[in-house]
Amino acid sequence: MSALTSTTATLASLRSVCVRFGGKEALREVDLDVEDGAFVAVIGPDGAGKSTLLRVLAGLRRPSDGKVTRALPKAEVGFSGAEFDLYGDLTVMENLRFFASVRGLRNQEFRRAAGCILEMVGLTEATDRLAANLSGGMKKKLGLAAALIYEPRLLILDEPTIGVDPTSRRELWGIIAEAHAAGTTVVFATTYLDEAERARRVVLLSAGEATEFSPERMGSLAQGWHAWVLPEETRRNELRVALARAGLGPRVYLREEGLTLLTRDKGEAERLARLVLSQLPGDCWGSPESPPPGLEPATLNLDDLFVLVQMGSDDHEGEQA
Amino acid sequence: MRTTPPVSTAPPQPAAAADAQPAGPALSATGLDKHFARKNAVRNATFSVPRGHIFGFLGPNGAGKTTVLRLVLGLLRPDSGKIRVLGLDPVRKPREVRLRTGYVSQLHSLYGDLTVDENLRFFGRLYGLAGGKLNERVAEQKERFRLKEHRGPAAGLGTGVQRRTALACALLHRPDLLILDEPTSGMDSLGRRDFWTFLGGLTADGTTIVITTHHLEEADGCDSLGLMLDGEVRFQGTPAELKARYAGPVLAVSCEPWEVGFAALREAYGASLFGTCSHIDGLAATRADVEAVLAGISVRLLGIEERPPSMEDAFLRATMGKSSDEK
Repeated sequence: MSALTSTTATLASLRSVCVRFGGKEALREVDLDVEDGAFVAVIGPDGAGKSTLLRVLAGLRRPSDGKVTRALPKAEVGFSGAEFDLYGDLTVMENLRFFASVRGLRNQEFRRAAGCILEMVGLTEATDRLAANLSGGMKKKLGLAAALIYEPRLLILDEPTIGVDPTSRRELWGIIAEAHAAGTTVVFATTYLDEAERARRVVLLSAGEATEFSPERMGSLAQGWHAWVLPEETRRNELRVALARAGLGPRVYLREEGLTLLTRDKGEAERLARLVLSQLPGDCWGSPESPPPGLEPATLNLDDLFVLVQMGSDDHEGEQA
Repeated sequence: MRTTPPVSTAPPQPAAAADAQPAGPALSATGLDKHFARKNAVRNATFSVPRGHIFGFLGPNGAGKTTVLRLVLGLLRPDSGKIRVLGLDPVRKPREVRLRTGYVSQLHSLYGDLTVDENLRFFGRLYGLAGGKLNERVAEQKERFRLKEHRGPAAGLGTGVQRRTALACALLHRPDLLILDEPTSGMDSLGRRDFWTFLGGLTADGTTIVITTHHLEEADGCDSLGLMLDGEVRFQGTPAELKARYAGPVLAVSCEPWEVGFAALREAYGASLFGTCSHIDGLAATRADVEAVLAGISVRLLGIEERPPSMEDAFLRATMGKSSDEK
């Protein structure tokens, strides 16, 4: 469908890509087109194959089966992995010089680009520090700088903010947004769905299979499901214990506004809310004769949808190793 | 609604259940100082955590959180100040403290070449478990954390399974205090929800939990919070109190394309990104200021909404954008 309506060029595409490790299938028949200027988030549970997918897309790993086509030279693909993958015993500047030289950047070009990049990621003061001695946030910024040094047209980032503090995360997102605003195509994997919301396209990877998490699909997933909130601020700790005791699974959880329930109808939400409330010490809200709990309708967020999809695919218990 | 119930049907009061356990906080620190060769890692840190609470320990990287946790565990000695863990002094009674404390570090503390079972047995023995009791506890944890089917070396297992195993190892000896350093980093939404419900169950048994996280929506799930900055504990209180302390409106700006608007607002007023909304400190800029910035560039303004600060807004305001990276 998108191929018919699309007017922009495809930068990279995967067709029926399979990746097997030993006897295990990490990716199964994955199709993905990345258009020029796209901003794509890849989400999925632990072990779904997100990193593998990005590595195949970046040309760092050959698929066991299927076809990968890229309409741009490998030198125009920037990649930064989830783990720190630079040289710890080199300084910030030496790392950048190394990555630039691998990509064939001349000395003069390098000096101009390096100054610019270091300024952008806020590492100008740290050029002579050994990469191993940087904080988590600075390592992530250096990884991003190394991926951006040769002005890639396609930037691939695996968990760009994992393990960094909120301040550094804010800065990293500033850099990514700036690169994208300047026309760079970005594909990133994340477990944080507030980050995924920023993408123009969200691809859900589950058990090695990719599906488009488009607004239409999200709408159809949300069809019939509702979120309800029982506002509670003063007895949160008791409510948390009651929730654990009730053992109702991830469709009932605590969020900032209060006890949240994902159900198909209000009656079901009231029933589940009573089950939780009946676990509260000295409370009679849980009894069937008591008035129904005061539930307020709330919006389903991306996390809720993700949970509903995962529960639906009954992959919840059978987590990937 | 209940109307003055007869005393006999009232649930057992917590006070009556407080048996041999000495009263007082599970963890307290008073005037804690720790210097390293070049820097003052912890300065005059004072805080306390009531029993059965989930205490969220917040702060930028390099603020001193991990150092405080090491002091609490007796892995480091303070230069001055007093720590009490479950009423014990970790400097004088490190072993007693360790036997009643579980710790899961940021780095997975598992042996990669050992299996789940072997890791559990290894840690169990460290905590002084043996024989039938060890077998029983290992089986209990494998059941609780859905680890029974994982037989290969730990290094080959998925992140989620490794995290569950590390947690199982830390709980084998049924500690009264559980210390978790960024336990949910890299977990998916489902894993995080399960995990927090699980923590709720632990506190029901009276376990106290100290947890660090960089994901501030999780801080909302804590009973109380401590915020560290530059080695000092700058704030202690409930999530609502933290937000109230750093109150003041936030302007949430929606525009299209958001990244172009965000880049401009970040430049002008240090905006941060929440989903695709740019948040600006309402004390730093007005609606008119925002409109003026966006009028100069090609974006379509969808709306400016004034909101109370979220936990992350409050955190960023409290730390004023500080992180170890500035040093």
